[in-house]
Amino acid sequence: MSKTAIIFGASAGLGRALSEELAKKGFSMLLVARGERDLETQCQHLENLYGVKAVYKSLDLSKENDSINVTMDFAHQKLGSLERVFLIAGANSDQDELPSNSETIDFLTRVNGITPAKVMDHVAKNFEKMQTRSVTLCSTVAVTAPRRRNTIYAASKAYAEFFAQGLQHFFSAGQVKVQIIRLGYLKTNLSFGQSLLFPKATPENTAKYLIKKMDSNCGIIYYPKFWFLITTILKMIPNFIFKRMKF
Amino acid sequence: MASPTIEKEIFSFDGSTHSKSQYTEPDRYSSLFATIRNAKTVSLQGANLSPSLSSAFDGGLTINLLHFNRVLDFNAEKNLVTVEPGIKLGDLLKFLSSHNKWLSVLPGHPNITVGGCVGHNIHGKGKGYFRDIVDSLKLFHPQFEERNCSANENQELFELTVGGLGSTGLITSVTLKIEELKGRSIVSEKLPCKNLLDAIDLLKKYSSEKKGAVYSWNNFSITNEGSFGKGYVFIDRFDQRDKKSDFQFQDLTPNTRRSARFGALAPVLTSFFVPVYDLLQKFKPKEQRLGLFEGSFPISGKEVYYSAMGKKGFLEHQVLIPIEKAEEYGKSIREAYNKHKPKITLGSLKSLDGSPRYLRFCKTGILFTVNVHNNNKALPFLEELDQALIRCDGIPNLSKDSRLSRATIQKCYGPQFDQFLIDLKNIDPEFKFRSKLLDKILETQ
Repeated sequence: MSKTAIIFGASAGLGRALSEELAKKGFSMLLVARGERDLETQCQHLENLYGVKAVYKSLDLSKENDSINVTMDFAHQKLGSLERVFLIAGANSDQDELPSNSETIDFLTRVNGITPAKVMDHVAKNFEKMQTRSVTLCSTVAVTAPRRRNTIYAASKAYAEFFAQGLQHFFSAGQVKVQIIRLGYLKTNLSFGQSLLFPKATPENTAKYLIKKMDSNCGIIYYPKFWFLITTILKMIPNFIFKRMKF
Repeated sequence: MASPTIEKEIFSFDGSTHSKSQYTEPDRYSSLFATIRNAKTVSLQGANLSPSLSSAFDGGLTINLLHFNRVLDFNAEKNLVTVEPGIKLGDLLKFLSSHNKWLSVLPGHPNITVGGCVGHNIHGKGKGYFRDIVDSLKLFHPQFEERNCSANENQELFELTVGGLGSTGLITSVTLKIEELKGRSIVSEKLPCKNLLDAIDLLKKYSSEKKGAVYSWNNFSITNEGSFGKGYVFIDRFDQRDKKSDFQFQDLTPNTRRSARFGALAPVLTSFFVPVYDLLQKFKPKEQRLGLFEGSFPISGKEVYYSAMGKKGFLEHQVLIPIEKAEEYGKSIREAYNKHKPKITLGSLKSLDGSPRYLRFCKTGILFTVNVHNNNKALPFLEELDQALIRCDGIPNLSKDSRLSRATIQKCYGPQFDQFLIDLKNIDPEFKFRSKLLDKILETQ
């Protein structure tokens, strides 16, 4: 069976690290993100270093259009199959603090929620034709504790998570494995310079973990794993105390 | 959107200078270009292993390029490889060796980036400068966006960029001339030399035979004229026998160097560098076969040499002296040593060929490298060497010597110094790309 994958959000950070780890394992892939030059450069790098086929499609995931279906068909056509689907793309915003505004709500909901849902819907319709074996959704630990900051980001990620859980149910016979990975802090430009309470995971280690888990029926899991403990403690805090906490 | 920034204290690798700057690590082209466009002035940074501070200045913005580290094209038939500037030499060689290719000019440590090699026109262990293997490059500047530069296209900009210390703009890609790998291991032959003159004779003899990289280790902490500079000449050549190299290397930065906990022990430790190295060489065989990586980067894995210098660090004096004046310059080192008794931790010679252009460290002559522990005896010793350098018509390596004055640089480089300023001003009147090192050169502009 050929090794093929599509990565949404492949221009930098975790998506770029994942493309490198998949290339090491001999995957051909389609990289999707907004930055055309980054994608072109990464494809050249993967082809030169690992001898794999790497193609790209530049796409702004915050725009409302039907390009998701076109992109998935393009990937299938270029690679011959689409075994692995990775939904890495995510966006946050300085404006994501309540009260917010409709532009921020539209932007964050599309990138973090609607686009992943459209991709998953496409998989549900075409998984046999595309020979899809797994879908990996990268979510966030922020969904476990709604708070006044990053509310839209967490809400839209929760939307995608809920959709993925629906997909898990749809594929309950195990035709396609669907993983939801709740990520903690990552060492990327989104967290650059921030002094955070807990350590940041490297994109390289996180990418290796995603690959390790891509054949599992794991439901929802946390990476790094200590976030499970932290979020469990957070959820145990009584509401009258939690709503007074400022973080 | 511009890349997020933090405030950071950035040190030169030798530990003698630092700057408080804004610092950023863009990870995509859009933010890299936006960051440069939005900033008034910027410094570009690779591995930050230059002993002079060429990647920061007070109140400026330092852009680290380590995310731009990819192989863009590889043409085995034409012997060319195109890379982004942030790729480390160690990583590039790992890739090239897997295709039986190699670079003919290599600096001392595998962490050094290709962008840094171009900007500083580094020289190799053997003959040659990095300029010799740069086929072409792409340069970004907000004034002209992106330009192809080579000996045939935008030639002046090309010559100004190679060895231009990052003054002309952001190198977005470099195409390097590569060569067939001549063997699967490196044999290092060691010849003892009685004194400095003996070392120079051996260097001249074996360099002209072009059998491999020729360099020496010399003891400059000897007061006796007859044995001053005694040591060993090494001749490194490729060998067909295979010896495994894993191409693994340590992360070396000014911060990892400074953070080693030698502290108060540094003055004691540095006293032992020369005698311990000398003693170890006595027990080593005349010929050693090393892996490709270990033979190319002897200092890799021995980074303790740098960290044992402590927070105060070291000062490096590296100069190119015309062959006919090499003896006179060597005598000056001995006299200055006898007078000031600094802690010399390394003395080394090479023979190099090249023609000077702008501030590029490139000239035919004998290359002298002297490292001293940065204590109160170091500066008077090195200032005396500066005078000898001017007397002997030599040129200093601006990338290596952080304490050089503008006057010394101007005297040594002469008309090339003025031409550099004139031509740089022609392409960038605002001097957008800056550093503490460049500011020293541009100070009256």
